[in-house]
Amino acid sequence: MKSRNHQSYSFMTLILISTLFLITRSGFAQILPESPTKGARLFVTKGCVKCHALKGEGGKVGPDLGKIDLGETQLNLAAKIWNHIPSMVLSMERIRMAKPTLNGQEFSEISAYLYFFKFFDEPGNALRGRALFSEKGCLQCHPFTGKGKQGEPGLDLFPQNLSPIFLSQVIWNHGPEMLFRMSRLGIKWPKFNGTEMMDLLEFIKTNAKGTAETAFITPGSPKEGKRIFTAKGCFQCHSIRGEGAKGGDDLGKKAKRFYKSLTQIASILWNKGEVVLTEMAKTPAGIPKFAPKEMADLLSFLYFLHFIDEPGNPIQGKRLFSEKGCIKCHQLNGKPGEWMSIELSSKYQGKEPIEIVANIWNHSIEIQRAARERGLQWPQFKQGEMVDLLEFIRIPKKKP
Amino acid sequence: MKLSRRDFLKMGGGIGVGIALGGGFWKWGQPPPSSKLLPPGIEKWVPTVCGQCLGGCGILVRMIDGWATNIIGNPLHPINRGALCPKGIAALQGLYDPDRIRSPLKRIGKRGEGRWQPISWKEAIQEISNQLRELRENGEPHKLVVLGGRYRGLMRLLWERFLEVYGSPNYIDNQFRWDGIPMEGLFLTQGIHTLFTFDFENVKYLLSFSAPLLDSYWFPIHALKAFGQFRRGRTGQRGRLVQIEPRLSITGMKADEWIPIQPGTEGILALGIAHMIIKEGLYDKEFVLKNTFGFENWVDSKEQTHIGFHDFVLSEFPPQRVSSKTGIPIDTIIRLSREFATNQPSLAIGYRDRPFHQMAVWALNGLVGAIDRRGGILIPKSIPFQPFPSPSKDRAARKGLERKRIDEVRESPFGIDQPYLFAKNSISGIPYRPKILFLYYSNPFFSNPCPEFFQRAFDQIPFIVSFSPYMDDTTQYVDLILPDHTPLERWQDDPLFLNNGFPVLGIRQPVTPPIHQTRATGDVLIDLARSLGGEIEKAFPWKDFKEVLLYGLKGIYESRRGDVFGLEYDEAWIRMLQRGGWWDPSYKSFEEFWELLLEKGGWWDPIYEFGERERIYKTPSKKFEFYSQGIKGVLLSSKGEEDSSFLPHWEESVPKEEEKYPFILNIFKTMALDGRNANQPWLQGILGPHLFEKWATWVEINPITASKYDISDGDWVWVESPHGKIKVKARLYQGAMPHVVNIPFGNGHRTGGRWSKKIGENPYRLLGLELDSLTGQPIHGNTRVKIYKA
Repeated sequence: MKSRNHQSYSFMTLILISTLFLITRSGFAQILPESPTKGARLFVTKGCVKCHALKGEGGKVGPDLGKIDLGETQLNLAAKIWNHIPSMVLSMERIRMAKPTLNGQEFSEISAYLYFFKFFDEPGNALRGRALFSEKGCLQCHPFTGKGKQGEPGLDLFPQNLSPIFLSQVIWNHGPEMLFRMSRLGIKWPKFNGTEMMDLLEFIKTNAKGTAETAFITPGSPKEGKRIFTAKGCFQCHSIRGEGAKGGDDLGKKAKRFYKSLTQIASILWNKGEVVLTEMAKTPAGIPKFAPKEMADLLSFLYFLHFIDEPGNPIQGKRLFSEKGCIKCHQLNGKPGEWMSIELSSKYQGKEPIEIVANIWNHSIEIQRAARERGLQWPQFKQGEMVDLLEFIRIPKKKP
Repeated sequence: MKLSRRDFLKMGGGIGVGIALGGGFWKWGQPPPSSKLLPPGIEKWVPTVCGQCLGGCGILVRMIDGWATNIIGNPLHPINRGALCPKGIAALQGLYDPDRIRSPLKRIGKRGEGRWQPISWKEAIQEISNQLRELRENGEPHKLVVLGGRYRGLMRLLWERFLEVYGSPNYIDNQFRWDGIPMEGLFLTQGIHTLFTFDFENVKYLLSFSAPLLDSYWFPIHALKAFGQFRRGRTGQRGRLVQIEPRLSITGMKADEWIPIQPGTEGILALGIAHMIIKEGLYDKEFVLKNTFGFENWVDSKEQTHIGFHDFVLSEFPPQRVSSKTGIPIDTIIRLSREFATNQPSLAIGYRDRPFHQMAVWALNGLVGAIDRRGGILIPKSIPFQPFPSPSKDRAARKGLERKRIDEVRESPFGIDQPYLFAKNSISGIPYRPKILFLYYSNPFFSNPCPEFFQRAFDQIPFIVSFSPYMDDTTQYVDLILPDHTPLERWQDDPLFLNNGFPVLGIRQPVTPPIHQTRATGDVLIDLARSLGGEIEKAFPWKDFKEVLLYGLKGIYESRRGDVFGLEYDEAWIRMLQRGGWWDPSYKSFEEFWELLLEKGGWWDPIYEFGERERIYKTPSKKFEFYSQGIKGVLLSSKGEEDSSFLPHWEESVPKEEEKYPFILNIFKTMALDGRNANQPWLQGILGPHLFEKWATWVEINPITASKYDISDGDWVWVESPHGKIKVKARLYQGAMPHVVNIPFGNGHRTGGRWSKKIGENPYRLLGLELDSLTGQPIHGNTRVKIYKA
């Protein structure tokens, strides 16, 4: 009798979970960061800097974060951090550092900050840039000095301090005119690969002598970039994970493509420029113009597309809950754990996944101790597993 | 013994009083509870900038109940990152020096007699403003002269602004002395007058021509830190330092190799090394071809052919000749040239020798392309202060500014002020004699060679004011003293650069209210302007110097660059941001910026932009000039000069009375004293650690030479030159060359407080007035002396 009841209860739970999974399947699982650089201050104040360096500067205990690939979704990044908690704790003990506590917001900001590193361009090679300036046909309109045949500014008249974001903005805003002139002169729309645009920019920077451009602007906001994406009409062609028009690519599905430095993202836009500009010109709104800040926000949004996890699968999560050993300490369906009985459902129900991650981080030493005492190996999470597990933990479950 | 009832009562009463007063006999032998006598004070640490030398180190001053009790390095300040030298800690003794000038003083005896009358600030300002007003009314505002010493920042602009609206062209800079930064080499080759840096922590091979890197470098702690990085900071790469110097200094001891050289011949050695590099084709041909002018022979617009550096050096400076002049073996010269050229990046650093000797050292850097590269000579961007609004000038000011400067610097090829010409012209009255002289951080009676010369000049000036916080040799000779705060009591900006070219601005804030009745000279200047009224007053709309500072800082805030000081990690982050064209500061408003500046200690911009040619080369050719067209253009006497006059060359000093004066005098500085800090006992106690010398001036003599003259270690001896003699302690030192005697500079103040007055001797009194014709600076290695037992 007891067994039948249990079976029917499990079945009902599975139905409930599946239904909730289907309901929550669309859209983003997390909120886009407002400012990816906010985590920089936390990274210092929370003491992460004592162990980790950024391109050689900082602690030498942990890996140099400027030199490793952090191109994961937020929860995969959290899984990576989880996986190396034992060695991290050991290192902290060695340097007599207390493990910092973090709340969800802080964890979110730090992870966005770490993800942001790749966005920064390495300096290009001006010598290669010089060759590209000629190869890509720039020289046909823009001479090294003075003005071109149609009055185009020569290289020396380009603004000084040209930063990648200003270059992206300028080439977009001047795109229609450039396209028109190029087609009249029979010049093929050049394509940029790899670091070519960075090299070109470096060459321009070292030779430009025009009026000084504002050298720096505040880094873009991915959250604001999403608004720009809609406001400037990008949604008319592109969808993000099913949301938006179907004419162009679903950018959410190819998000990893944008996990590149700013200039490389700009290269992607440029390479598509010929088609995009022609198509946009046909729309009633025409080709939108971008202010530098707007361009920064948009590129930042594209960059962060890959950061946002696909919604997790709670059915898989339930399996992981058991496989990874969580079930040994935590209650499930009112059934106490094998070793202890810590109730999770009411605590985490409906919480943001990153809040749960922060909580796990904060009591990881206790988890580690319990696991060690009972001979349980520290569970390791593979790609996508953390998001499934968290989804399972946070969805409401039927009371037994 | 019989006790009466009265005696018993007396005894009982005494015990009772004792218990009441002392709490019982048993307590008398106990130490008093510390909580009663030493109550815990309120502690705070105040970030500011050390003012003990030009190093600009960030410090944290420990304040307990308003008393400064300790000083440590500020770990956030990029110059020193928490490190501090003994000078920094001794600033406490500067602050609490019992012999500080405590209020304005007016001379009541004869000049130099040392009789003073304390007066109020109101009276003092009134007196100066009366004198200034009278001078203007007589149509002579140009006869106001300011002799300014070593300091940095907005205070200099404030002085210049005051002189501009008052009507005097005479701000005489007395800070770039012969022991300063080698400025002229930079001007001759790159056409630049501003400061530069040597990125020596990033080089593989460092060839130092008597540069006092680890002794008394211009920015000592920064140099020491850089040396640590150069030696051990890079995995798998240990930099090699070769020190060429007449004396075994601390730098020489720490170097991989010390090469003793005849004093004043470093320039010809540099040319000999250049000869070998060119001869063996070891120079950076691409750099020389693309970025230099005057290497090969060239033809001017009048079809006249000029000899280039290549042919000139090959014909004039073969190793045989260089060896005979320097005393360095030919093999060593050849080896040095190969090492320098093949261990890239390499860098040659010199000292403030004669201009074309400096140029010879600079030419070595040109040959290996060590200009504007990592591990090379860098030209930093300046701090983006908000410029002062252009002041309106009245008729008197305009007329005054039309007059020639008293040191005739407008005719000086280097545009560098010439304090000796100021003194000379003050004596001669040509073009005119000054009538009012202000001394700000300048003590020429002590820190310029041949002090008597300045004294003669001062005798011609009717009214002299000093702003020194301490009594010194020059201040003793003035008419009025308006004592400044010490650096720990005042607001000041301290703009500087790191060796890697990053601009840094330290904020000096008062850690304590003024201890005595002193005032910041910036505030006094603003008060003076106010009392003079008219356009002068309008040019100074600020309440005090702090407001001036805030005004200047607005420019930095609005420049949208850099950030307030942070950890090394922050540096990497800011750099990464800025390289990508981003700026994400720690502050959101100017008020927040100011608060953070005070909390962290300052602002910096941790990025150096390479390849901006306009900034790097300001020569007529817009290139590095082996043939200085710049100097040729400004030298009035250049007509008919040979090409060699504009190429790096060697100017040999003619030895005088060699038999009568057998030794060459070499004056050096130690880290503890550079002339300013003799009033601090902690520094007097560590003057010459290599010889355990303290509270004295000594002469270093080679032991073999000493035995010839029957001089033993510790004997008192006279050192005599044609210009004077001083009595010092003889110290036998293996690191002294046989025919060279070395004397440290720093002691020998004729007046001052109890810890500096008449301690030791000043070797500058042995120097004469044989000056370099281009710079007006004394010539190194040109003074000969004799020694005999006292």
